[in-house]
Amino acid sequence: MPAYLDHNATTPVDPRVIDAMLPYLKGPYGNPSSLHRFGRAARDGVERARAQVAALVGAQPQEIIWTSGGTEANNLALKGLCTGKPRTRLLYGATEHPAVMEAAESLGRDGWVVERIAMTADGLVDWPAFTTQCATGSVRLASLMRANNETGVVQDTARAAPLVHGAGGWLHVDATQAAGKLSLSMTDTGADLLTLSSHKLYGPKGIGALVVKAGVDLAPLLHGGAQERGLRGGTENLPAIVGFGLAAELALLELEARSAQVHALQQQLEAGLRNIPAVTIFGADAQRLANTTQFALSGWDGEALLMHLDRKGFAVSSGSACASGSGEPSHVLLAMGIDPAIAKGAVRVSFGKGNTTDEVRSFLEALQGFAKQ
Amino acid sequence: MIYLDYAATTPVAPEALTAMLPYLSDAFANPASDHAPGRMARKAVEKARAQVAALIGATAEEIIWTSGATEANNLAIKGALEFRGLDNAHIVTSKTEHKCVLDTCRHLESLHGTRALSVTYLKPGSDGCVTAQQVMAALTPRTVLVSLMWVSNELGTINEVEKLSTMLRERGVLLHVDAVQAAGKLAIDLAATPIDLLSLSAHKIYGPKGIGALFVRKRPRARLAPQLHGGGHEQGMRSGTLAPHQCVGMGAAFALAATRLADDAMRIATLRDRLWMRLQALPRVHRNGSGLAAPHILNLSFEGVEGEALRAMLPGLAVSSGSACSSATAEPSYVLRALGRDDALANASLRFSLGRATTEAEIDLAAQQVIDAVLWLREISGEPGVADIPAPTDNAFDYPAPVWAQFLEAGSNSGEFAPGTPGVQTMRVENRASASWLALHLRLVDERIREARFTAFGCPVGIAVGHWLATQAVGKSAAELRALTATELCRALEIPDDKLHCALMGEDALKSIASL
Repeated sequence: MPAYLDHNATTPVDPRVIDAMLPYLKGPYGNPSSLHRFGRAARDGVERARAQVAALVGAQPQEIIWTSGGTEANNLALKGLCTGKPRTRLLYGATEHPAVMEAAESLGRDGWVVERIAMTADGLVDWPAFTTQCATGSVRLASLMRANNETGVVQDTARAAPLVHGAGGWLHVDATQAAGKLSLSMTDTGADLLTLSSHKLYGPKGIGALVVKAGVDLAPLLHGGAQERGLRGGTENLPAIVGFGLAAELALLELEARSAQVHALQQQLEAGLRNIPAVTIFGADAQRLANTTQFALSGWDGEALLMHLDRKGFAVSSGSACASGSGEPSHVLLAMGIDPAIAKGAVRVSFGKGNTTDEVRSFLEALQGFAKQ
Repeated sequence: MIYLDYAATTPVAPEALTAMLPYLSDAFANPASDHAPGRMARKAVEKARAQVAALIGATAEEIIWTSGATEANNLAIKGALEFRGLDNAHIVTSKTEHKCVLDTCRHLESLHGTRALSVTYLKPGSDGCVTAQQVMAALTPRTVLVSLMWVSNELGTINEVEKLSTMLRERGVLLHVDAVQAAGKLAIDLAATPIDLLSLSAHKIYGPKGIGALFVRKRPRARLAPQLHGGGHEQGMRSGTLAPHQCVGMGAAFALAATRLADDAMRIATLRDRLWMRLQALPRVHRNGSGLAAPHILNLSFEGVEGEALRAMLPGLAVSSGSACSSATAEPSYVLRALGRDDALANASLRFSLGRATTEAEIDLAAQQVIDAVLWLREISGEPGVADIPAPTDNAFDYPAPVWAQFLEAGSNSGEFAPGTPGVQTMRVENRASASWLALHLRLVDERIREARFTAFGCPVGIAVGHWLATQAVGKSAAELRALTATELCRALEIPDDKLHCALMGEDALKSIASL
């Protein structure tokens, strides 16, 4: 088994979560929308999980809308807010995940004015520019991620909320990477809508949620059935929902311990990286997630470096798994004004519960070897 | 509990579960990741894709993973229309499609445009089927898509999609087929059947929930505009991290279905026919959808009983009363209404759907429970009595305890007095909205009620009201009874607000007691 240093791409399912899911995978549990007893037992499982996920972000259970994952939640937020509304402006951070960017651009093709929110060299919102942008005219929504999936840079999204509200819009916060890694609440993020994904916090894949504050006027994306208050049709993915619920509860309970553990590994890694002369750490001066370090090794193409690391048994990524293999420099790094030649060398290490100091040590040794080549 | 709701969802086959587990634990990587664990996950996803394709005679690259059939149906219809342009377009579908197809079509109709899209909703014949001829007759030069289900989820009836597919291909009109209830039940060969888009679900054929697929034909290529934007997964048609354990579970379930299809179909059809034969012992039972049918579904309407009471009488039977997706609303099935059943009959219908684990003994027991329940309720409404029908004992739908207690006892004083009994006064009141009625039959001796009976047609609360009033009436004078109000009834039986009309029906019956 290689050293898995790619927890921002996905995490293993916590064994306790698997145990919680199994009865729902094996058992005679029904379709949660069925009226009979099996159906109602299923519904109880769904509602318990809803409360668990709500607690993770300080929301009300009825504010949770289940989706098939973060991508669907982001699509639902953006398109759900815009569908059928007068086409005004839609703003999104230049370092957002493709699920936000592409959803926004699809609305752009539908007649919306889509604008990027500029970032500083640290990957933080360029606040003076954003203030001007919001003051320029009315906005339907702005979308910013709480923590960046590539660099781990943490954004003060709450600061954006009054600006967006002042322009008549809603603030959507993609908290896919932040959840389980940072203390997170609807209030602290300033979010009107917030995206969560289960498989980034030791829950199963195929399930996520959009948290929607009361009063936000959202149209459904998937039509059919009255599930999720008519906002998301489709039979509920019961085992995954139950798994997500427990994963969220554990993430909340164990947040500090988990953060401390990965932070120690991150410090060990970054101390080692700074001893390698040719290394640039991206977003180094900004607040970052305790588990994420993205860097480039001068003179190395990222794809080539990844391949060599892969052969040596290190599972790392250049950035977004969703865009892997494209060979293009990361849009996140370009938005931060990084030279494309350096950006092309990007490698992202993202730690998780299972990682050890030994793994970090051998990873650094391997890198030092490559640096000498 | 006898589970006869396999059309709503099936348990995960042990073979599928076993295949899934490694991808929840050790082999957890993101299949989009470009490292060794990622490639391993990707390999598993691709093997599963081929398994899904094999069951329906497709190629692996024609399978697009989705979060389920609802998403597949949404993607097929919106994707095809959006790609071709919505302006002035026309869709043909049927009134008996799954709710997600109908809702998607209605959503497209509601989009504002100068040249709006229009939809024709075909009404099935009285046999529950939509014919190819019907569809062809509905085509216009503007028709870009026909969306028709292969097997009705409520009725089990089979539409002529194979014949239709060839006819539509000649006309150049795209055909989308919702095959959720057909896959694994009927032989499907898309290599020989020119369907362009076909929706599949895993959890209806012993795979996990939360995963489905859309078949998108490569040659000639069916083109779709994506509905979920992001990293460009699934050939750009559906973004989002794939869940390998789900894909693998669906693949294993489809592979299993391929080996079992013929045997399952024969065994389950035999059990379905046995159930129908047994239930025909009851008079006035109607089969909904008499046309050619898939093996696993039997939909019946029972005359002379109210739907909610019937369901309450069957706590040990997991069956559906209409599509599970709209059960929350408890409205009479729109599918049955499309067949021409009136609201009362549509409401008093049960969908039995059988599966791999269904046994002959379960079928016989289920049939007996249904027969007992129907006869008991018919007796409460005054039909000739049947002795010794046990009342249900399990308050599965959580009626207030006093209501349930009264309902259980209802057999003790239901029925009318023998014709010609002296001093009998009958008060009959109706509630049009809930299509229920209540009749109190009072036998008066010396200005006092010596004996009271009731008959009722309605939900358990209405029946409980009838029984309680008949019990209370004994020994009272007319004036004393008239003084009893709906408020007191609600208090005594703990009737919830949404059942207030039942209490009011009781009050109305008392008000109409003539002076003695």
